[in-house]
Amino acid sequence: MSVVLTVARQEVRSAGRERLALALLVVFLGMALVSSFIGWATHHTVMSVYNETVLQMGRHIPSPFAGASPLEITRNTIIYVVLIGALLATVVGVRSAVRDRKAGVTDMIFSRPIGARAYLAGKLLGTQLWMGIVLAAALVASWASVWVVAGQPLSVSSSALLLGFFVLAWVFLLPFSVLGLIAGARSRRESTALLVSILAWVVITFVIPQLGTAQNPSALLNPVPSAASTTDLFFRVNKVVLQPVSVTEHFKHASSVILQLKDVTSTAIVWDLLSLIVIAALSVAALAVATRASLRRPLYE
Amino acid sequence: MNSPLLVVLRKELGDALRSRLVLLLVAGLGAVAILSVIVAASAFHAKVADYQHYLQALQQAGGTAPTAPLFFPLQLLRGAVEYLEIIGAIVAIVIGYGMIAKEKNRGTLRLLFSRPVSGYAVAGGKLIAMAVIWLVVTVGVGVVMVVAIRLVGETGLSGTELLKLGITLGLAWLYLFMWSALAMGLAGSTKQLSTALVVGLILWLGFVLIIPQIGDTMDPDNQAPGGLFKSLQVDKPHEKSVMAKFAGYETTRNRLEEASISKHFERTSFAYLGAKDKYNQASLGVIGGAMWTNFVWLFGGGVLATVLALTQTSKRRLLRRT
Repeated sequence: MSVVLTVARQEVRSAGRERLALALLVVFLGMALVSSFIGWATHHTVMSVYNETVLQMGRHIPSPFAGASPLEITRNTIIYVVLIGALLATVVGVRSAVRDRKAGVTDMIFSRPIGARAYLAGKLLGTQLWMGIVLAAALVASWASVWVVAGQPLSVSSSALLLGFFVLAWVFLLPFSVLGLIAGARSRRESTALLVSILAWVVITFVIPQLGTAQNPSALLNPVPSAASTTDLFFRVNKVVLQPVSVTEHFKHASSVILQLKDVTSTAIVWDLLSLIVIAALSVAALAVATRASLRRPLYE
Repeated sequence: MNSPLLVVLRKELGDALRSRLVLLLVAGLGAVAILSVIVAASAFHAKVADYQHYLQALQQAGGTAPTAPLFFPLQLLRGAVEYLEIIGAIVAIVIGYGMIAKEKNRGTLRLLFSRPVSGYAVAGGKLIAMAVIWLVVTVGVGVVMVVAIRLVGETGLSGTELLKLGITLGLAWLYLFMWSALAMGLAGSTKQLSTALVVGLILWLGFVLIIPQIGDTMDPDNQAPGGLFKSLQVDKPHEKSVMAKFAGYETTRNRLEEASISKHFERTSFAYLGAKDKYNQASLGVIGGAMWTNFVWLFGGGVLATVLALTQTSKRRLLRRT
């Protein structure tokens, strides 16, 4: 256990010195901060559009934001977790795996009585601790920005929901950290590891959901779900086959329910949570493919 | 015929053909293009089936039939173009970065420049090689698109449609070349290669994903599933009349989207593919007239990226940073 903790401690320190990780962290925090302002500006404009429509049409139309949660303006954060958060987790994972190989210290590390599993578990723990720090900072940024734009702090229950959302984000990001770790541990080049894991992220984020819903890639980045086709046999089969692994869709749906956003198709999230937890557990088990031999292999750049 | 520029060009093309990574990436790009055509065709079939069911129910109830969904084959390519915009750009960054990274990593730059090579011959050879690689890829993806439309969409393309597809692929070529040239310039301008990759990745994230995403989510009509105005049961003339009152907001949103070069590529290609109703079946002249500013942005971006690549990977610059 002490080995795992030692490696994890080293990981947190090193991640804080990584320029790529820090750059993505700044982008992520910045987006978490502006997300509320974008949400507020859009909300404000849509309400004005609604009032103008009622005025021009001369008849009552139900308000699009009737009974909307105060967390509605944070809805873009869901997409930023999927876009920037997942990418950040992947990159942090890759950098974590290649760091020691690049420095040529893996031989020295494995000359000690340290198993590959304990070493990788420490790496994963460190990466996830780092992601936890990032998400905690994003939580504070979101909470504060909602206070600023709404003019009053969130209630305890809304704050708890926001916290729940960020905890879910932490679980969602775990497989991406593992993906980066595996790619970094098995690739001969760092750029290959980065590229392979980024392409895997593209497949998970865009291709798999598109096959099940017929939504175009850009529509998948809109936090408001668009009407998905389900009548065709092609999509029905794909949905059955791909839904369990469609982690981004599970995360988007569960987050929408947790943040009490309008337009959610169903409020049942047990299946979403189960899928996210099972995939996170399976991804941790998949770390076994990174062996002592692959970790000791030289890195060519 | 053995000028240094041609030697570099031949060598780079040979390297690309031997690189499993490049081949894998390009094959992946082709695969997602096919998949998105299959998805779009299946979605259209589903729409037609829904219409038929609705029509039957309506006929039994004695109502008047609504207009049947119309099939426009080029619209099947919308998803494929979005993949070129998103995945193509990251592949382009990797290819452009790799052009300089491999020389720096292998330490071959000093050896290369110990030969009588002029200041810009290596950079020029590499840029032309990238242009050729992207030309081959876009033509290949184009052939894949036409075949996929033929097989999955069960239709061929008319001469005008082929021309529109050709223009779209030309724009895709320029867009992808621009990202590769930018990454090549970045790799040449930094002492540490990883910095170039970091900057390239951040630029990709910002210009390809974040800015267009913000613009899209700020669109009032994107605030309800199926569209805000549809959900409010407001027709097109009233929608225009209402939105005229929010011209300032729309201008700001438009300016934000215009800050992304990807959006210029997207708008122009969607116009030629008829993905936007406004330009569907419009003549080439009408589309060209409406989209000229986007052409200028794309062309300008391509020129700037090429200049960056040429200046940052010249003999003097590269030797100073090795």
